[in-house]
Amino acid sequence: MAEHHRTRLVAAGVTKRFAGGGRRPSHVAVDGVDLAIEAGRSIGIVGESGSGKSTLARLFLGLTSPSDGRIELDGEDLTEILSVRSRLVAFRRRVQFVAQDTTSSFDPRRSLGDTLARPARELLGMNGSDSAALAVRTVARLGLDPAMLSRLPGQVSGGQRQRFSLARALVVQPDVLVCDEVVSALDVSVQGAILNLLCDIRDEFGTSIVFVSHGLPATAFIADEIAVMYRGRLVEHGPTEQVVEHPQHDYTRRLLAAQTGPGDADAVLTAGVTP
Amino acid sequence: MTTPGTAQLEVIGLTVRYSGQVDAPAVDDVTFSIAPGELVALVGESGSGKTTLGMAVGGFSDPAATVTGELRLAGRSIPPPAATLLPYRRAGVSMVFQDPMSSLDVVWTVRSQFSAVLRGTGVTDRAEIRARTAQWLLKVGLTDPDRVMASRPYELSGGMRQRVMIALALCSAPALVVADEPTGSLDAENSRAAMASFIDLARDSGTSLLMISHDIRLCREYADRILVMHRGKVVEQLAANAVDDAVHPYTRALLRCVPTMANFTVRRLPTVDSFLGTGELVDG
Repeated sequence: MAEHHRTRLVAAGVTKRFAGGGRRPSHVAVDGVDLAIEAGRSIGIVGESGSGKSTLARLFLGLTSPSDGRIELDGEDLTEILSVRSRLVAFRRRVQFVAQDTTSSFDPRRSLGDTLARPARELLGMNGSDSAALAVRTVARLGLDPAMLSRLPGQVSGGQRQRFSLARALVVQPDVLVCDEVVSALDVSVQGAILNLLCDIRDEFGTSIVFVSHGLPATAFIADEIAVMYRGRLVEHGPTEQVVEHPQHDYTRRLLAAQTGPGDADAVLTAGVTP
Repeated sequence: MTTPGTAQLEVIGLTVRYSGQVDAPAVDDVTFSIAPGELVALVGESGSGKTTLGMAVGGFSDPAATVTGELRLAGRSIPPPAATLLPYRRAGVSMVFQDPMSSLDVVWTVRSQFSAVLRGTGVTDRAEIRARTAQWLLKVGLTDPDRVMASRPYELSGGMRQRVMIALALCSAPALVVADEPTGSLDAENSRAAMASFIDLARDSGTSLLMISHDIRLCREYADRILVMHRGKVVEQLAANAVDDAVHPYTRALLRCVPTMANFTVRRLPTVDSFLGTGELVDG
């Protein structure tokens, strides 16, 4: 059971049902999902809009609770963890979230430095100067310019804001980073840089990465393993190369067929040119 | 390529320099043309000057910027706008902006905004205005036109606002639409659906389209031609089906910097900056 110790977050038979209202029928967003997030590994959760992938991410983050089944962190039920204030704080430190929309996830009136120092104060109990120093160290380790911390979120580009959004999540050195469509809204030319950064984070800090996306190429690049969601169910899960090269489920095959466009051969030939 | 005289839009030696800009201008001696009904994509990274170029074509240049060169619409030269604080709508050209909240009038109902545009094109009958508005709202997939017409922009979702914006741009039957990342404010999946519907409507209406985008791979799917912009210059013009034949290093960098199903096993993705670093990328 050595493998078991390396497991961080587990979904065990998790179902999430949303109650209907008026003429709206009730809806099963996540349907009996079993999935384990391993330490230091990246897992991609792919599927189309409405497949339940974002709801599953929210369940892992404890932002919504399962209707059936359980989410566990190191074998402990998340519902119990969240019911005790001190354990909730410890959970928030260990499991962090990065969202697609960086405009709405930053307070426009606070400097980036202020925003980045806040999790260190709230979750690590640091004082003002220590938390500010930690924010500077984190930003520097990610190859960002600490001088930019004095700026407001509106004074940096979308790509830079997403880098700071990653930095904010990493300030508290989480064990798990849940990323929901973090590159979808960015200029294509900065998507690659963010994806490279996520790989570095996984490899240098041993952070587990849950990469939720509808974009299969970006997911295949970042993920060690891929889980495919379809209408709330987990229809396929395996090592990335296996899922991409030998898809078992018909839906996975369709997803792959939709993503392979012209011009990809060119990318293969030139992929090795970077220093 | 279009022959002179048949182009819907001709841009000849256009240069835009912001006040206080001492280094290279934002748009630097750009020349291209768009044929009637042609869909041309202008691609480049943020800061490449593509939005500044689109604004100049649409008549929305910063009043403090210096605009030189020539713009011709259907063969007629159009003068650069006077240095007034209020940009005016250039006859025959519609704009679609990335952020509908800041470009729609926040206190007017959708119906009033359509009414203003349609009156500008000579439609004055109230019943006719109402019918045309409802028709356009249905065309862009807004299934309850009465409710949308009575709404103010803040009462609609982001996706609905963007569809209103697209309908508003097309309802005046413009000769040219300039669309700057028209679905950029939507989430990725809504964005793809809205883009597909916008392209279909533009094709149906026969308008010429200048589409500004950062995503060259997406543009190749629907555009006829692609212009690649880098540091204020159009460095390459390509037929959309010949993107693989791109010769400019910057165009090739833009194509390679995104992961694909063919290169996902690489250790690191190349970035445009890494091409700059190798010295492979030279301005030309």
